[in-house]
Amino acid sequence: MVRGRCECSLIKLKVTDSIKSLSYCHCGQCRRLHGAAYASWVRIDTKSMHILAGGNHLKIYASSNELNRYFCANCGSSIMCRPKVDETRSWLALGILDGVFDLPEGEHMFFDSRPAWDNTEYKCTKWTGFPESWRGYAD
Amino acid sequence: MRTSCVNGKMNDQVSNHLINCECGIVGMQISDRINDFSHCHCSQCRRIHGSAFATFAGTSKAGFKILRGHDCLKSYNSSEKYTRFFCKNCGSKLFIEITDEPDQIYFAMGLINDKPTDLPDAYHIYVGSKAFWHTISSNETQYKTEP
Ligand SMILES: [Zn+2]
Ligand SMILES: [Zn+2]
Ligand SMILES: [Zn+2]
Ligand SMILES: [Zn+2]
Repeated sequence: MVRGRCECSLIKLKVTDSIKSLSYCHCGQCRRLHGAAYASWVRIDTKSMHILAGGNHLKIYASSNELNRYFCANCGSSIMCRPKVDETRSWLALGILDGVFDLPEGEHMFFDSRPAWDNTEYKCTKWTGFPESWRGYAD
Repeated sequence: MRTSCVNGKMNDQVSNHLINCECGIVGMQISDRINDFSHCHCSQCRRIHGSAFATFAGTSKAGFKILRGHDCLKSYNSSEKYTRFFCKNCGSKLFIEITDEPDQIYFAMGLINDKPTDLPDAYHIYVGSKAFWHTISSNETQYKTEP
């Protein structure tokens, strides 16, 4: 089991099943929303995620017709995103999870959308769009 | 670390960037040079930005303007001295103010696509708090906390 919380701790959650995949998204939406070079997402089954506190502070932003993104209305922490067409899967912002836990090998998505200022050398698999692990959402 | 040097030479080309949050409500303008460029690995940045680290560029407060969307700006004090601003509609992380540096502002680099010509060399801060799942692969300077 893994626990997570937003920075102000109003929102607390736990995940009771394994993390299915890890993707680093370099798309422009993730970059602007996360204010970073890329967002780090771990896929879980929605039914294995339990909001322990602060569910009323979760604010939803629909970044497209397909995707809802959730953040803490008080501290702004990015919490997760979930496809509208398939709510059985969620992608949690890896940064909110506590402690040390098992993680699958990461992969980069929307790799060609990297900003010009990012000259980091990235290892792991690179996808120009959605990886296999997002299949079903993307098509 | 407030230098305006690029490749060891003073760069006279001043930045001018129009940036906005993801939903477009908050618009900002940067019209002074970028004097700082760092990747922060602290746990606060990690939680808020939801990623391995956050990347910030520093510039003068005088050269930083909110053009629109004031009503949509939400502030959060992540510590006594740090105030972070985000868009309350879309959640985009926008910029940080630090009370010890009243003339300075640090904006989230995720808001910028291109490579500003006056961008200083990047360095890493709070690598002592780095995520266990992240490896820093560049050979940029690293500080356990702050320089
Ligand atoms: Zn919060
Ligand atoms: Zn993305
Ligand atoms: Zn916004
Ligand atoms: Zn930080």
